[in-house]
Amino acid sequence: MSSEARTVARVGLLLFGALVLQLGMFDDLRILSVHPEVLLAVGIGMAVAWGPERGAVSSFAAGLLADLFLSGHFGVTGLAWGVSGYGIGLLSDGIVRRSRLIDAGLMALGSAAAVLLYAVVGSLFGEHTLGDDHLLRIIGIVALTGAALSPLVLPLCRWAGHVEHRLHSPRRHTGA
Amino acid sequence: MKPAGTRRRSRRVLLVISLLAITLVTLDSAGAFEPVRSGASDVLAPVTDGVHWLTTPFRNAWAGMSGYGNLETENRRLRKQLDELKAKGITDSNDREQLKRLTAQLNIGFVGDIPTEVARVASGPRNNFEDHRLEIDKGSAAGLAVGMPVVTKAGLVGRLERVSRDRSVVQLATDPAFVIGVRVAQTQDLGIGHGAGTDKPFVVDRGIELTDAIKPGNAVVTSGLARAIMPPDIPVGLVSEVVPDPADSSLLLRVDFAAQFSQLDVVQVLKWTPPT
Repeated sequence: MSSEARTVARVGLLLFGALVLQLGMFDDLRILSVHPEVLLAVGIGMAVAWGPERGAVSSFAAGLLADLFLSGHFGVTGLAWGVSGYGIGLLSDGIVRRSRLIDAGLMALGSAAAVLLYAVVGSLFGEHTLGDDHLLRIIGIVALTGAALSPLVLPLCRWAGHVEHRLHSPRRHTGA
Repeated sequence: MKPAGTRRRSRRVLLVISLLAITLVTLDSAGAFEPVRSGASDVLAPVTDGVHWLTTPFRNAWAGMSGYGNLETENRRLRKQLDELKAKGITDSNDREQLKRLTAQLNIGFVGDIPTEVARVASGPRNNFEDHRLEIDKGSAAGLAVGMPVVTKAGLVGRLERVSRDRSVVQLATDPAFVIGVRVAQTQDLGIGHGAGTDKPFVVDRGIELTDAIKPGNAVVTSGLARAIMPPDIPVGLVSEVVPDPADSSLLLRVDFAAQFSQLDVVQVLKWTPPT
C-alpha cells in the first residue's frame, strides 16, 4: 500500500471513530445543554497538525460526515468547517515555536471559528442559527472542549498524517 | 515562509471546497441526499447503539452530575404542586365525577381506531443549535412513513420528517416551522398555530376572533380539517395566556404543551398519513 493510501486509510479510520463516538456518546454528554463536538475537534486537529491545504480537506470531510446526521442542508457544515480548517491551518503554519498551550489555543480558536461560521452560513441558507439564544454559550463550550481534547486529538492526527511533532523544533516537518 | 506556488495551491483547494459545498447544498434542496442520509443512519445504527449501550453507565453518571441542580429544582416544584393539590381537595369525589362528565362531553377521541407503533427515542438533538428534531428507533420496516403524527399519552409531540429502514427523524411541535390547524375544545373555535422554540408555549396567532370567548385553561386539540397534516382531536395543550390584538381584531393564544419534551423516552407513531 502506498504512503498516500495509508494516510487516507488512517484519516478515514480516525474520522469514522470520531463519528461513532460523537453519535454514540458525546451527543448525550452536555455541559449547560451544549455537547462537545468531537468530529470538529478531529477536523481542526488535522488542520493544526497538517497545515491549511490538507487541513481544509480533512475538516471539510469531517463536516460532510456530520451533515449526514444533521437536519439542515447537506454541505453547510462541510463548508463552515472546511473554511475554518483552512484558516487555522494557515495560522498554525505561521507559528514557529510551539507548545501544548499554543496547540490547545489553536484548537479552541479553530472550534470557535467553525461554530461561528456555521451559524453565519446556516443563516444564509435559511436556518435559525445566527439568531439562536445560546450562540455565545455554544461557541464558548465547544471551544473549551476542543482545547480540552487537544492532548488526545493532536497526537492521533499527527499519527494519521505521519507528521512529526514540532513542539521544540522551529522547522516545519511535513508528512511523507 | 511557504513558496508562492504552495500558497496558490492551497487557495485553489479552498476555492474548490467552497464551490463543492455550495453545489452540495443546492443538490440537497432538491432532496438528492435523502437516500444517502437514510442509508448512513441505517448503516451506523447498530454501531452507535452498541457504543450507546457500552457507555450507558458513564452517560448516566454524567447526566446525574450535570443535571443535579435541575433535579433539585424539579423536586421542589413537584412537592409544592403536591401540597397545592392536597389543599384544593382535588381528591373530592364530586370533582372527579364532574371531570369525567366534562371529558365525555368534549369527546376527545385521540387515537381512536388509528393503528399505532410504539418507538423509543434513540437520540435527542444532534445539533447544538436548536433544530427541534429527535430520532426514534423505528422506520419503514415497522410501517412508518413521512408525515405520520408522533404522540405520547399526554398529547402531540410532532411528525415524522425523514424515515429510513430502521430509524426516523421527528420534527417536534416546538419548531417554529411546525404549523398546524387547531381547535379550542370548549368553544370549537378554529385557528392555526405553530411552535415558538424550545421551552416556549405553542402559539395560535391566526383565525381566532377578538370576540371569541376563550379563557386560560381551555383545551386545544388538532382540528383535522380537510387536507390537514394531522388527524383530529390530538391534544396539543392548555391555553395559558390570551392576548388580544385590537389592531388585527384577533386573539393570540399561548398554549402550554401537554407533552413533556424534556422527558421524552417512549413515543407512539400514529399510522396515519395526510390525504394527498
